[in-house]
Amino acid sequence: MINNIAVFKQEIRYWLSSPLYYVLSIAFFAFAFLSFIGTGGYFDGVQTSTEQTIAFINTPYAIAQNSFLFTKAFLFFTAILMGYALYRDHSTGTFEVLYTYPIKKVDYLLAKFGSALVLMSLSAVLLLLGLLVGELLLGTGNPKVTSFNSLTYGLTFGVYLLPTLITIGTFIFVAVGCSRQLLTAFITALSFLLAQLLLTNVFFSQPNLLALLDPFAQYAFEATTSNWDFSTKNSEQLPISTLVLWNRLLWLAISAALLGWFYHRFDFQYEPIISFPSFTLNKLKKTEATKSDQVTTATKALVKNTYKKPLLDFSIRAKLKALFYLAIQDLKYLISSKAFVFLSVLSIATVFFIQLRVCNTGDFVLYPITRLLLAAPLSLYSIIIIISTFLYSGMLVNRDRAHKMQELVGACAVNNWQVLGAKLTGVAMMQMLQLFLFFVVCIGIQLLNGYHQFEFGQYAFHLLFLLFPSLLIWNLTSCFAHTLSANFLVGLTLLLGLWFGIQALPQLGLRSLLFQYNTPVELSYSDFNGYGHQLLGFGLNTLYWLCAGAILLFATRLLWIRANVLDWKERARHLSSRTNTASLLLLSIFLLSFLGLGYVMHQAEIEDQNLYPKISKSTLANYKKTWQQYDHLALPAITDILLHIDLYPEDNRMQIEGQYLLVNTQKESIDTLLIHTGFDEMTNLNIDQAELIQADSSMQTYMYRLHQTLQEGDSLLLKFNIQNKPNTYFSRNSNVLANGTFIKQDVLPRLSYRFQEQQAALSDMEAAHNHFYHRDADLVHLTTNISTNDEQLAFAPGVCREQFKQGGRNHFRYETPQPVKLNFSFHSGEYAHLSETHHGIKLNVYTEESQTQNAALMLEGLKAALDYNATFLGNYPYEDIRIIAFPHTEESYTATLTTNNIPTSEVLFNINIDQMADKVQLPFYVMAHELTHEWFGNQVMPAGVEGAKMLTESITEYISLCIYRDHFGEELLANFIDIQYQRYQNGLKKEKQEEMPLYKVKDHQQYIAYGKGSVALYRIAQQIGEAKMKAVLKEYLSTFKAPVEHYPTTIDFINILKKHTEDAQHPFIESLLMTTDPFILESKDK
Amino acid sequence: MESLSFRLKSVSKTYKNGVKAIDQLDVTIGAGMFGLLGPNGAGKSSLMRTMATLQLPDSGQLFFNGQDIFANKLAFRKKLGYLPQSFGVYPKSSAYRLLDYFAHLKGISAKKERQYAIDRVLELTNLTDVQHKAVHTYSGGMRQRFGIAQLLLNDPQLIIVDEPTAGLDPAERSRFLNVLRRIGNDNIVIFSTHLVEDVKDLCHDMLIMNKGKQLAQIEPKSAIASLKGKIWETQLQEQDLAELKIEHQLLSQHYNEQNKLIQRLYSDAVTHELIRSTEPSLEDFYFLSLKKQQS
Repeated sequence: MINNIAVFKQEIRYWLSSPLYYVLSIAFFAFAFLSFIGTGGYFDGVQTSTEQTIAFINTPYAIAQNSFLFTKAFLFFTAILMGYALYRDHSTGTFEVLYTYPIKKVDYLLAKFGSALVLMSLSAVLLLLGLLVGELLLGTGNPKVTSFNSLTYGLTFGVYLLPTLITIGTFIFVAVGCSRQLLTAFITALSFLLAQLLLTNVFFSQPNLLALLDPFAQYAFEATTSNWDFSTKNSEQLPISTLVLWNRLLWLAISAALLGWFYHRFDFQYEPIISFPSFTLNKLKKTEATKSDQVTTATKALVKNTYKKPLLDFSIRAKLKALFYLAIQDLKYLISSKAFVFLSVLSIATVFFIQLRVCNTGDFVLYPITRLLLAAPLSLYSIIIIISTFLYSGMLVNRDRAHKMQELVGACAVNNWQVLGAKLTGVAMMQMLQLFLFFVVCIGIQLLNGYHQFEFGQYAFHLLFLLFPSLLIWNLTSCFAHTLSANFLVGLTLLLGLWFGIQALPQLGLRSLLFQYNTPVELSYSDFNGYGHQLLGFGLNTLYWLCAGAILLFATRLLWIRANVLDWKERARHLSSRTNTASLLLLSIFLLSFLGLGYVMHQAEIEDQNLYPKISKSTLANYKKTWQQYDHLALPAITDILLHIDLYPEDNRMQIEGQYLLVNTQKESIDTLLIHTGFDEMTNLNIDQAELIQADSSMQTYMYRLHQTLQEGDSLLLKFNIQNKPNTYFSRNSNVLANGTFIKQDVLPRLSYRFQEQQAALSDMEAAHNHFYHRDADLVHLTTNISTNDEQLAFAPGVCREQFKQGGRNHFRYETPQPVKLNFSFHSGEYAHLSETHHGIKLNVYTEESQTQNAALMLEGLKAALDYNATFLGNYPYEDIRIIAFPHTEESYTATLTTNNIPTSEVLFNINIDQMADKVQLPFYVMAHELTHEWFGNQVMPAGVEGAKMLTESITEYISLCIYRDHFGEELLANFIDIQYQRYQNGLKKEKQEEMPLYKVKDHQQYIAYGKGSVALYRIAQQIGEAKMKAVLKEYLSTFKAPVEHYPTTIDFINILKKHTEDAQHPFIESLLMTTDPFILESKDK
Repeated sequence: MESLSFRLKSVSKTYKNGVKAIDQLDVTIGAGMFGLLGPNGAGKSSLMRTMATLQLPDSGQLFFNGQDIFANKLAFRKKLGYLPQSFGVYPKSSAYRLLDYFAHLKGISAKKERQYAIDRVLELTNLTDVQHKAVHTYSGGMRQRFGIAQLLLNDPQLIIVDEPTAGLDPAERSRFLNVLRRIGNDNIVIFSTHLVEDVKDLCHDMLIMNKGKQLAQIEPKSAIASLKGKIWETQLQEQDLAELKIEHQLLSQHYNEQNKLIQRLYSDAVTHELIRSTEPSLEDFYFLSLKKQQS
């Protein structure tokens, strides 16, 4: 009797003598190792600032996070080992003999499963060893590496990695055992990845259920560590919470049950447990029978009496027709398999729920606009298509051999290019079908949400012209790899190795696009500007890799295995017969194009590097060393600005001529000017009676010596002209867009050292002489002459004094009626215009034509803010307000206030206000918030010290709460407060430094300024009464309205607050504003 | 009609593992049925594959009607019909559907032409009634007839069939050989087998090969005639036989109905009293060729 040890040993011996096992084990070791040391900055240095903000990469938390990623990549190996365990006996036909032997099925199955498990575990250990060796190589001298802890690796392996692999391995083992198809192994592995995504998007609002159901235990880990702050993540050992244990137990139990079921069903039979019939077979049979019966009757006479030779047609047309026929047959073969249908249904279901989630994140509901549906969900879906391509292309290339039909086909008078072309076309059609399914889901999501602006053109362009070429290149690559090696597993390994390898290239310091195989240039779409300038670089890069694909196609044709697999010597002998002048000419064209395009790309990259030389650490250190000493240099203030801005949207270009009137507002004479200019622009400075004495062209900082000293009150003109740096294939070095241009004041020269020192301490009385925003100007008068093409409108801060057409261009002159904060925005675009007049003030919305949905609500927000603030803060000072939409690609923020313009991201127009009616009406709230900044931010500017954001954002946010409450009622206010509080709590978890009290809040601590600030001030207002809070704000505004000698600090504000309140209320105020005492949202806040 | 010829000129093929599958073969084949006879491992399948352009010879040339078949493989394949020793089919595909597939591969582009050609070959191979059954469910004989059906689609001038009768029951074998007979008149049909009976029944010319070498090319009738008076039969004991083997060539032994071991010998003249002359067979020629090579 054969015992299980013999089978077990045989399996182990087989794999230990297989080069593939070693190659894959070493590849995963290297993958983990290189990825670890790459993250540790081994190849390109560590990019961190202070020790406090460094997230260690070898903490238990980080190692576990890494292991989740590696587990997913390792599934491919698991699929091979677990899938091959039973498949090998079937693929070689050994099973027919072996199954007749006196072997117990328990012995057989245990040996097969056990051996695969042992081999898989060994390789998984090697994977973790890669991390460990990486850690040892970097050593604790590396700032990203903390002390070594061996338990971390043990727990990661024992609690997370191994149980996951056992679970998924069991499913793979059983799936292949039932179907006897190796493909099932990979489909099962892929299904687990999709299943996790599906679960994530279905159960995102039920974290505990998600944690339990996630087969990778990643969400159990995340649920357990969700309360960990930054320092805990940097130090704590891996959590083995009840949730984690239940998850592990649940999945191991399911795996055991599945294995038990399989054991019960398995019976050494010839027929597989589950067969996979074709879906269309029966239908085809019927059709054929009917058709053919008629024909047979008609032709029988011919067969019997006269015999006519069939007409053979080898014209190009006929060959192409045959190619297409073969492609259709291949496509039918692929898509009629249950595995494909299963994969398609699962991936489409996953994408469906991801799309739903993208449109409804829980906090925000967005319209299912096309660009949103084509962004992240498509990136994920394209990965599924790529992996399907690797699998199914391999199946097609090896199809004839797999079914032992290769000699029949090989002896037919069919060209290799026809067969190869048919396989490529079959896979390409499969990819098209997958894209079509994606498109159907998108349309379904839009219909489901009642969104009927179907942008079929955008779908077609994005899916067919932007995504498909990359898929085609993968198709060509895949066909090449599977031709290179007729062994499906080797081909698949090559492809996945290449694919993973590309992702790792940047970490190895290889960032040039020339090496990023078939990696498309990142595109972002805006409804304003389409894909904009990026399409140029995208197209170039795509053409470059298409040429590479064409070269691969040529190589595939040369190496194509017709009929039987031949040794390399004989394959080499076929090469000469497969080349001719025409094909060599074609190859030369593609080769030259590849090299030519590569050269152009290389030049463009060099040009980019020259235009934006990498600022090294030493350059930065030298700059600081040379220039920081001038940080407090006495400099004149900008008081008047005249700008002539010419925008050329059609070629993304701008030309600015301008002048500043500089006035010495200091109490000392000035003989030096320190100026830095826009980093992305080329600026020429022209100052009468001054000479350049020092310059740093890389940091664009210049120092001039004035020929004549500037006494207090004296002034001089600083003239300049600005051009954007030339646009290259890969960079649009200009803020000018074909539509929706949004330029900020950062293009203009400023008088100061480039970097502001760390925010001054609250007690720094000297710093309080300058406001928070910049030191070179208090308030300025601005006149802007701006021109653009004849189809667009252009906007600048202030009132439009003149508008005319000249030379086929639109010209506008804007002027600020009174001095304003030097915070500007300039716009140009084709806009839909909505307007309304409220108490004599014209309220305008300029937005993209298809994005007018929320304009009315935005106007409501403006009106409500005007009404609320005007009652106690004074009238709004301008005759109009302009909400001007800008493409989401230009800025990450939602909106800002620049004089009387409110540049607003197009994203705010995409909020689905109907679906968010019971949450927060964001368009209303954002506009109320921004307009309130006119009083708190523009009219009163905080001192440039700690806590400034409390005086702008907290106050503005508090007032927005009041406006919101007055407009929507207490119930919706409660939701809003809840969101603000959650914002504070979530921010706390991510805080890498210490939490500051509100009155000392740092610039970057928005979660405190907005989240805590709004609720804290609201609670104080509830305590002291809203009328009293209004009085406080009114006094604060009137006392510190700019320009002032001494800009207000939070102490000034708190003093006013205390002045208006009773002593007994002061501890409460201090607790909220001046301490970090635990801050809990109470029901009364709602 | 042009006269058909297939010629092998000094063809050799050695595999990576050192096995010399074809060794300097020089053969000329004319129209009609041509048998390729040899034991297992003789190199028949290697030769068939080479003749079907599925592998390159290491040296030598192959000509069909005077044209080097490897100079323009596609032109040659237009006239070729090939049935390998073992073949599979796409599972769950009917004969009709598969033949349609092969018809496309063979350049029958027009739909009506395809239907005509498919009906004809189904008729010729007696598969019309089962044309809509999945081929992978066919019996061995039906499957081989399907193999013939696919090779006939393009009405080839050269038909190469590699051991097609192996594993067929007598009835199926007979049916199959009848099909070959029907198509073998106007074409070259090269037919490999290790069964001498097949060649005797079918072929007007044959090649005997072993270990890659050509042992004889001869018409079966001539082969038999060449042994007239030289084949002997006896029932000797092992000891007597040993003595006899010194002077005479033992070709084969078989048991008769009385379970007696009969030996067949080759010799120009025999004087032993227990040995009697008998009619020569093609099998005697075949064994004699092999024996000669061994010696």
